[in-house]
Amino acid sequence: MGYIRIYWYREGLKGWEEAGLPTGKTIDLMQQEPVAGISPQELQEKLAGSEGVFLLDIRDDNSRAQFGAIPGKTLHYPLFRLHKLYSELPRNRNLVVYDIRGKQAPIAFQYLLTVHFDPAMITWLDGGVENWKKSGFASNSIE
Amino acid sequence: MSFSEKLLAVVLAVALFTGSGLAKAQAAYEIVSTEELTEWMKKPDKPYLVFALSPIEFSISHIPGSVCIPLELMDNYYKMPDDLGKPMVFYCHGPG
Repeated sequence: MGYIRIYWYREGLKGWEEAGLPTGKTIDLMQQEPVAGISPQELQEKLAGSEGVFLLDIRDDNSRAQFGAIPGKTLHYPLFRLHKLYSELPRNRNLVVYDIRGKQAPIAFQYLLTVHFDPAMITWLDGGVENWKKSGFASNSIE
Repeated sequence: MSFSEKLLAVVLAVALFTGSGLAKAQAAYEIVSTEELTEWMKKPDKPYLVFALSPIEFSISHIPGSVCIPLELMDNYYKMPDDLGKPMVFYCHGPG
């Protein structure tokens, strides 16, 4: 892009907060239990069952191509657009949110609870697609 | 690839395509510490501080004075500063 004075604040939010510095926020996440995700084994059982589970893949296109996708009916809504597009998501379906390693999926899950999705209808995959593959389950390659 | 690694890739992508041959020959970016950043943000020449993850994550917690430009949308429909000499500091969640 041509910028010549580029810096990386490597310590990030974690370092900022650990230094006791103030942070800003524009939303209060609704804290609801249970916030734990489900295991790959539990997801496999859900996908094989009759609940009609939909996967909610919140990764960007590059990550999908790099890490592959979990086979199953999938809604692809990248996290960086979810705040604009969540109203398109079905509230009467069982949704399982997943990402690469389970770091952003709980954030998306908490956000969806905050915008009043039914906690009985949504959950997230612990460890993401990497955990799914490590557990021996197949993944689809994405072009 | 962790968030930090992904962010570093973006930092390099933003920096590498400079119009200056000299700049290309130098380090493409510098690391800034918490202490340096807090002092810098108090000064008139404070940098353009960019949180490179999603607006949802930004809405949950961010450094005051920063802007959210998801790295996937950088230089797309999120406008970047016109001044190529403007110092830009990128951050995300940090290590871990």
